[in-house]
Amino acid sequence: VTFPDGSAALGYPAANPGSSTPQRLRVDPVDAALGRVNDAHVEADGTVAYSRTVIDPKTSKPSKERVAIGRVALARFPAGTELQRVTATHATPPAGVVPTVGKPSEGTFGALATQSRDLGSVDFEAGLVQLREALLALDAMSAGAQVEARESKTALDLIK
Amino acid sequence: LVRATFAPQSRALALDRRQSPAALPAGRNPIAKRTLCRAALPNGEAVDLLVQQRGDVLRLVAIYDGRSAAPAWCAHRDRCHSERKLMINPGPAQALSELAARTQEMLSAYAPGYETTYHDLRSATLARPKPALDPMSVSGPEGGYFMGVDKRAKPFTRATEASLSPAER
Repeated sequence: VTFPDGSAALGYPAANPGSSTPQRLRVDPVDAALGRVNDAHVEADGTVAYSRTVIDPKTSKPSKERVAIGRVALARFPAGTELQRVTATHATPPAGVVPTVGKPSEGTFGALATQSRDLGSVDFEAGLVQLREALLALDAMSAGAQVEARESKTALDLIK
Repeated sequence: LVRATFAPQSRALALDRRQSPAALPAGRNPIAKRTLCRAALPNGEAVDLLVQQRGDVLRLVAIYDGRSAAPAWCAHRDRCHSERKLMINPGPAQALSELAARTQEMLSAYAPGYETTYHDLRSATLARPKPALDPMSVSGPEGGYFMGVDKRAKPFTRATEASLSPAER
């Protein structure tokens, strides 16, 4: 399971339920090789699952069964932690800050909102205010430069 | 990196003094107190400039096109009728740079999981889920980050459009 930037998502594999350390979540290699991975989705408790079609050897009838790869891991940082931006969508905590790691819908972690995308961390209204201030600053600088150029020209004219 | 504006044309240029234009022929090395810069024009075109710094004002001396050094006023004479010396004023250039950076932040405001570079722009409410059609797309709870791993580090993200990549399959 990968994120849009290509980094692998960490979680708790269903095949290794005793693990307390997040690991990479991987599809069953046999299913992947046979192209039986369909309808992959993430559930509210963080379970990454897909359905595979199998054929009953006795009846020769195809049937679908749900396969859980594992549960994605969540991390939370102490209040007031200022994350350091790595890329446009990734950040790391400052050195020495240890995150609390867990699973969705367990402990202090809430459930995931399925079929939704999280918007960025930009406060749109504050951004518009800052943008307007930057525009005003540019206007002021431009006006100042124009006045300065006009004064220089006047001074040169006087000298001439 | 110096952001600068050519005052007569009000054109913003990004000057990078760290890049030395290797394409310049021998014998055209910058003279004392003058610096060669690589500049990016607003249309994406790159030019090499010879600039001279006096105080906090950069003066454009010449523009190199790779083989010859043309006086600045020649290269821009069609746009610059009255003034032959092009001055780069760092004040408006810095304001323009700030405006461009703020604009970029606003353009990315709705990008999933976007981490702003300005602390004063950081939203107090982290979880802002919006509906999506992709069943692999989920939003984390308030304050929760997903964990990823790549070759360099273990970054944390709220960008959640996960997928089963061919490598993983």
